[in-house]
Amino acid sequence: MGGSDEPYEDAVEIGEVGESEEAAGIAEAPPEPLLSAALAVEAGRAAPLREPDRREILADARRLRGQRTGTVIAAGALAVAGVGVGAALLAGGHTSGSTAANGVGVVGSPNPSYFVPRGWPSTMVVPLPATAPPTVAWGPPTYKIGTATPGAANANPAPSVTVLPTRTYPSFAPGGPPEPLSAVIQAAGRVGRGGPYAGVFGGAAYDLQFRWTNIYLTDLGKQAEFLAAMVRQDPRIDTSLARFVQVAHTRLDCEAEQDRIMAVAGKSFRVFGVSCSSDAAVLGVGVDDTAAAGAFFADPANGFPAPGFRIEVAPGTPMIAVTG
Amino acid sequence: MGDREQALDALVAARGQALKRYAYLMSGDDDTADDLVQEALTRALARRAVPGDPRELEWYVRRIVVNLVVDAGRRRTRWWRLVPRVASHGSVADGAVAVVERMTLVGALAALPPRQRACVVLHYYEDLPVAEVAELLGVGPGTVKSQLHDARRTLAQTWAAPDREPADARGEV
Repeated sequence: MGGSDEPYEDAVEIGEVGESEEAAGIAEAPPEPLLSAALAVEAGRAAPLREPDRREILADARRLRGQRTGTVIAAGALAVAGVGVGAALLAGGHTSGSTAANGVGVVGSPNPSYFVPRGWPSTMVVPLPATAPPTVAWGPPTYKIGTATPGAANANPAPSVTVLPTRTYPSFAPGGPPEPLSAVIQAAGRVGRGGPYAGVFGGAAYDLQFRWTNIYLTDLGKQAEFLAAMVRQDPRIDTSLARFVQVAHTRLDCEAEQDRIMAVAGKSFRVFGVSCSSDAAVLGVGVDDTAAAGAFFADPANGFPAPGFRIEVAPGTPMIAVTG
Repeated sequence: MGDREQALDALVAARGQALKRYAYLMSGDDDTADDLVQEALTRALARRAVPGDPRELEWYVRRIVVNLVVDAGRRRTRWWRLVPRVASHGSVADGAVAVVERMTLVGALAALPPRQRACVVLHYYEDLPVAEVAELLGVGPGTVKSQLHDARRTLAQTWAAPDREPADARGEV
């Protein structure tokens, strides 16, 4: 899935498609103005705010900050230790207690679980194929505008409809994203969703190792002003954590395609939900009968998917409301 | 007085009651709403950098209130999944009974799943567009639309609107 680290960002879990409210026996929903007015009246019934305990709030806030700092320091120490161990293994080839056979060091004797070749370099350089076009452009301080042709990142040659045995989700590094990274993705979301950049914003996703945030735009020429708008949105963000990637479709395109799929009615399968990938290229469709749905979406006569999109059909489950 | 104390005092003085009303609709209970506001203020002030702009700080507090409500709902959901394993027959309330009597709006709201409730309050009370509700909840606009749709369908059955007959009284079910 061209350049996306996060296949399914926001699943739309709704009921059976094509089931009309009348058929489902649903009563008429309250008119919106009535609901808004009634909410305002109810809100007015709230008693005056109990005076917040200022000292407790500030003390607890200080304690929470301390806990977070401690967690960050511990995580940093672990990471440094991990890097140190890894470097030692790579540089040394094998450690004490290891045995050697055919030039391969066995680490962790007497119960070896992995091998490190002798003379393994401490730094590995993986050459990329010379034909691979650079589709990723970095943010400031040096703007390297991507040279990919529009749509190169997510208009890939994979089949347009795939049936999966189960829904797949990305495997992110444990621990969750650090705060600077989530600040970047939030700023990107606020700038991209709605407003002047909705026409170029495809989505945003964390790198799987939480090293940077990929921001998907249909026009990389807009990356500088998009980044500037992000800084206006949140001046504290670290712009070096943003990477811009060229994609073919905007979020709005993907949502329109989502709506089109959800509107499929009267077929031999039920659609429980449609999700849109972070790079606005893949639509994950949760259904009750993957074979029937796969055949339906693969039939060109049905007009799915729209050009440049891919559909991944997988078993879905209906959403069950729990009111407990 | 430090920046955090000033920010706290300014926010509570200017927007305290608005936050309370918001938390009240989210929780359906006065005491819980007070606790929610206090907890949200604490967490907002625990940030490494507290926003200087009171509106931005208020936005964080509101977001935290939503998260607290949704998280509490998730914990309750896990508990209710366990109940059948630990309770004897008859001790588990039949959810259908609650639907028979039509409720006040706060009661009907409280009976909604937390995320649906949050969508209703943010969209119909706070008047936020769907895109902003989606951003605040960290979901897609399509999810918000479906949650609002489901919430309104449920409210149509459970809420006794003041100037509206119950649907079943008009021969509809």
